[in-house]
Amino acid sequence: MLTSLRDTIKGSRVIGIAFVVIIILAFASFGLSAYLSGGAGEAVAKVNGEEVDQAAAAREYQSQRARLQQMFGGQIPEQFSNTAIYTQAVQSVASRKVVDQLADSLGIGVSDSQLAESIRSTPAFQADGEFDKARYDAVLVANGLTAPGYEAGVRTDLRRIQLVGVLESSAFTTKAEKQLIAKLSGQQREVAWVKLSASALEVESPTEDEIAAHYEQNLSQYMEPEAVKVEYLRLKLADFEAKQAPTADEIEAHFDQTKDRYQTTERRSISHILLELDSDASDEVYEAKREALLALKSQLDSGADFAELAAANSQDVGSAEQGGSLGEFERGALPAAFDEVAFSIEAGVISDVVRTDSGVHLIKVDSIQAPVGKSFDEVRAEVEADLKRVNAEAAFAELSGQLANSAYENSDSLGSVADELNLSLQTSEFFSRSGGSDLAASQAVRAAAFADDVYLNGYNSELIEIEPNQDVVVIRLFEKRPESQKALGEVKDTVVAQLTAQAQTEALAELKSEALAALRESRESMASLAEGQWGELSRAIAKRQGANIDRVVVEAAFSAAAPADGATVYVEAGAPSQAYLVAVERVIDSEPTTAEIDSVVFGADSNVAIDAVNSAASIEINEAAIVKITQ
Amino acid sequence: MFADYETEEQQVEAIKTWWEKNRLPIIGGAVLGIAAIFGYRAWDDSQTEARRAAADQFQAVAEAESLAQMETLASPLIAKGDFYGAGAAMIMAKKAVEAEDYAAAIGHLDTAEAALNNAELKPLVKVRKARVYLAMKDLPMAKQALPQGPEAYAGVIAEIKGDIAYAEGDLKTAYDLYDQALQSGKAVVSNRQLLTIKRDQSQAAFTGEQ
Repeated sequence: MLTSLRDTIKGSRVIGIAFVVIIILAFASFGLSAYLSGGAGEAVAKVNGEEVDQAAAAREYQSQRARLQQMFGGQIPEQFSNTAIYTQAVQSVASRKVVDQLADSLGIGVSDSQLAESIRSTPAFQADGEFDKARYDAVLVANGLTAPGYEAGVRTDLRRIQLVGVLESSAFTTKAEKQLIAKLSGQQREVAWVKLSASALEVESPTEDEIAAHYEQNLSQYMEPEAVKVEYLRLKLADFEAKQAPTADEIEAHFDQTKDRYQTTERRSISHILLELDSDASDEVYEAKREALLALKSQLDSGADFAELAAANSQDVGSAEQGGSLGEFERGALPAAFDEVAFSIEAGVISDVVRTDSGVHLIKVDSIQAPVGKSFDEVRAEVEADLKRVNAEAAFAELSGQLANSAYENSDSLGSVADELNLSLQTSEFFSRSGGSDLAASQAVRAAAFADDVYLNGYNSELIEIEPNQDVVVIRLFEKRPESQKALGEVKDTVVAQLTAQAQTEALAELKSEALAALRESRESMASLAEGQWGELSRAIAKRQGANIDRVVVEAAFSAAAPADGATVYVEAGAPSQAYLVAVERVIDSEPTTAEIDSVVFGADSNVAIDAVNSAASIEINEAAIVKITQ
Repeated sequence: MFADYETEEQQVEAIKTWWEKNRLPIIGGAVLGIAAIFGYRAWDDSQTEARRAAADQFQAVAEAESLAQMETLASPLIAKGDFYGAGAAMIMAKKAVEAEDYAAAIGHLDTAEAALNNAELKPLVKVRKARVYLAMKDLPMAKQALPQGPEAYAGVIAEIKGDIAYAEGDLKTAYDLYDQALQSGKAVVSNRQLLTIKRDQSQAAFTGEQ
């Protein structure tokens, strides 16, 4: 066959060339496929043209997710989309790569001893505080890494750390810088201040004309929002409970079912002697075994010890060693035939022969732990309440299911649903999007009432859970009331209050600037102001970080001009509704101690250098690829 | 190509002739190629080795116990004039600043500046030089030492210019520069809180005569 193939190829140039092309393609695509399946698609980012490691980005993504999860107690809030977290992860991997590239171009290396030291001191590879080679190998395998691959990664990390470390560890703070900051931080200022609230000022009441004018100019502030009235069918669990009236028998039956809530269950220590028997054994075989057991039973009746006989004869090897004892059981834990006998005989009595799938048994009850707890009569009221609740819950669940279905099927009418389910149709008061009473106190109800299905299309709503499993409702639009202008009469009080507050604020601003001018021109003093409207005069020595006085005063005091000796600088502070006048009377320069001076250390300026390196790099984030990965 | 020869003997003959003609250049090329590969690898290894050795030497400098020991250990690194040399000089400058030997610090920083061939890192050394000149109260040199950029340094540069103005007693300019540093959104030499204190102090002083 090969010979004829060879002849064919030799015979035709075209076939020969085609053959070569096929072989080339086969090999080429074989090589390509290794790349295509090995690398997971497009690069997520490029740093100065170099692709970032996909696996590193994926690892960073996982650890950022874990961090977020921990931060928010298990659940990552919706605003953190996977794509956003992934992009963030890619960004941090990319900016590490920027520094890696720089470290490489600067000729930074990592010696073998530095590498070994770093790996040896990694806690994950240690057992009892010592580096453990077996553990190292195991951890790498578990993470799907090879030793050379991992070590190359550590080298890269160490190079980056070295680079940043050199910049950081060579940072300094000069003595002059330390002294200046220590001196300024410790500075204190002696201040006096008075304050005045706008609301304390008496102003003339606005005239009717002013009120009317304000109303006319601000009509849009005084609107009655659009509102709806809905008709509804509402189910409340409490109503269902009230309707329940169980009979005495039902209550007792419920007690029997839920006994273990009120009583411990009976427990029995049980022993047995087993002779094994196939379940399909013939009657003769069964008879023979039965006779053998009966013989044992008669020995027991004449005073032989059960434990000794069990040890000698029982074919249940496990229990035979324990003198036939199987241990303690509740009713229902053992095979039915066995269980029935074991829970009906008295303690100390030997049973008749019992047959189960394992064989034939003689059973003995060693001891009985009787149930303890409250009797039925004692807990009757409790049981009745519980039964009512259980029944009510079942009825509630059933009817709310019917309600949901029927409301959906008859989406054009709620009346027919009410008839079908024998419920009474009710109608609410008007309520707006933002608030209401009774039914409309529920945000879920208001949202549903103004949703398109109900508000625009006029369908029945879905089943709305005001409180899950306790209070549900289906609503339907009954009447709309559009947004309307409130009459002046309705809003007069509000208008008056606003105008008064406005007048007070204006009066305060005027008072403040007058008083400040008077202080600066020495026509008034803080003391004389305090005697007038400006309330109590306070004095203190303000510290920059001090919490002893109002922050407004501290900030005003330290951003004010420093007074010359014997002079006072006056400044104003505060908000439109609350004015302060602050007098800075003296600057107390500090004499920082050596310790205070030494404690001034600046944030490393090396951050700036790394920022510069990052902004000089070209980082291309491939958002499309990230979206593809995270979806 | 396949149809050119009638028998295998002819093919073998053809190959032999071709080989006779071309064997010298082929063998020569192969030898050269292999030599190049091994040569490159040896060179690469030696580069890596040199880097690793330098890393060890540098670590020794960083961990040196005395200034004298540090100088001894650092001098071969500095002589090479690479990043490790620059790093060693920068660390020595820090030690000199701590000892308030500012002239020596400037010397070390000059060395580092010359050795550091990177447009983003070099300004860091210049900024540090300007701060040492400020500590020496040599304001003209401080101004001269300051770099012009890049953008990431805008906050730092504005703050130091503010310090210079403050030292010159030009509080209005100092205020504006400190404020500019705060508004730049870039990292600063001290930190935002301390910078705010410096700014407010300048404000307090220049508006004093109202």
